[in-house]
Amino acid sequence: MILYFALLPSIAGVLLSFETLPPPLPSPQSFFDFPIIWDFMGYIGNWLAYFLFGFLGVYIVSVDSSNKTLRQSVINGLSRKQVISAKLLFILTLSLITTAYYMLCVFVMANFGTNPFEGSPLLGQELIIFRFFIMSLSYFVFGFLIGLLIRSIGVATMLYFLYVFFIEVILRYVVHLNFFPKSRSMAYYPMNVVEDLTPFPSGSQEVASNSMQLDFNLFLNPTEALISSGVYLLLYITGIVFIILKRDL
Amino acid sequence: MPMKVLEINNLSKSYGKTKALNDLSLTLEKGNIYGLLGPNGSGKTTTLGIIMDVLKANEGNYTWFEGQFDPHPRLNIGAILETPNFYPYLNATDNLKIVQHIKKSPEDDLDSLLKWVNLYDRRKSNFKSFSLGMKQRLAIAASLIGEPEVLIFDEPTNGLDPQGIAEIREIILKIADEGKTILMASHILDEVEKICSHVAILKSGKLLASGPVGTILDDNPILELGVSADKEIDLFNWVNARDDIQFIQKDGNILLLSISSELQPEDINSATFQQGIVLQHLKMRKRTLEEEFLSITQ
Repeated sequence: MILYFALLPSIAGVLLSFETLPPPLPSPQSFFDFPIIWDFMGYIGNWLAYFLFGFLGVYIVSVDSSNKTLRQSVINGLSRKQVISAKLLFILTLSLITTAYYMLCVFVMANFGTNPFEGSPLLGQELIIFRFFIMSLSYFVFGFLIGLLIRSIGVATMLYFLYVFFIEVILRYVVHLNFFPKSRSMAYYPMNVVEDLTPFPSGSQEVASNSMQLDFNLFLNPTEALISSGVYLLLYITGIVFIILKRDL
Repeated sequence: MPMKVLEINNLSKSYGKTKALNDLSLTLEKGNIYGLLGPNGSGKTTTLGIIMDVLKANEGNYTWFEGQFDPHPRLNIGAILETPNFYPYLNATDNLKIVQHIKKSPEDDLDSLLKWVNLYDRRKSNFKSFSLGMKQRLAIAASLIGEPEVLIFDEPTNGLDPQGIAEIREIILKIADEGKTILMASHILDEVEKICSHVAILKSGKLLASGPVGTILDDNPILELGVSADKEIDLFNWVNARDDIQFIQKDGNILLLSISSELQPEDINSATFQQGIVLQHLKMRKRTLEEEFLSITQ
């Protein structure tokens, strides 16, 4: 978490060291104007969450499993429902904290913009803050589910990173495109829907779709990403509840 | 009528094709000390795991305290199942505080508990620095938080050296003296015989016998027979041919046998002599729990 707190403003600050960016990207300073700063900082936060929050979700549960302290807590008197509530509440709190910090960074970094507080709306467009919260929560919960399924910290961490870096990419761009060419369903994979919650704030999505010679938009719009993430969250949480309630500890 | 602190009804549990528990039914009454006996793989730990809700039974059910403390009966139970599990990076006191928080028992004097198990001097040491004996003692201290009505110990002296075993035995005896209901799974049968008022004997997931120790122990006495090495096979064959004598085990060159209570030592001596077997050792005595256990589980 310390890495997230340090890197979120730092990475944004690094951008300021560039005078210009390659077209069609606008000047770096304009990223710090409202409302675009919400999307820009959200994109940086998404990358950080991609690496850090999923791992943290894995760690939260698998360290308990490997020390058998989760099992011991049930022996000591916690019910399995209480265990589920405690873990999910903790993850929810972390997601709220990371979202609150995101909001703080936005208002601080906005001071570096060209005309920061003249843009509107001041709180961003299309529920960006709520999308960031869902994005954080999704990475945490996905990691948590993997940690619960694979009780070893090392193996679970490896599986998480294998999936997000390689397995889903291969499934989407190799397997899915071969069997279902030109089908927008390839955008609805678990990690992709979360990434599209806070995408890069420019026309780069169209460039990417065009470069792959696809006649559809590869990226989900905010509403699509929000609904899809919600569905996946529900599935993850259902899986977590089922595993903790029904499985031997 | 004493309260039923635990009622187990037709509990069954399988791990794949292996049936770890097979239709087990058992009742524990308040104030008694129960020994759960059985060879490795008999289902003792599985039974304790199910009643503490860390394992899920395939069939059957159980009820704690006649449902009086539902839905959180384990707040009134202190248990050590298999190895003691605590947070390795926290010290003894902090680990006990976590248990205290779960048990909702803030009034417990943790320092007194630590002194009681001889860990007070190491209360600020991290759990990962503890020896196995110290871990067991901390687990016992944790099990006493909240003044539970029932205590469950699963092989509490496993892996300990003789001094560790003696320390744990002393602590359990102190707890037993306070009148708590205890359920103890153990291999050390003479300890169970000394401490427990009731026993339940499991084998291959099935309950073979249960009840007060006095009624479990067969009235049939134990006969010790010893002969010279060249006559051992003859004696063994003679024993096997008798319906009123059952072989239990061989202890060195002495055969331990269960005999019908009508048989007298002189009858045995006479019968073996007629077969050309001269006895060098002949002793009749009462059964121990270990011998009864071996007799039942063979």
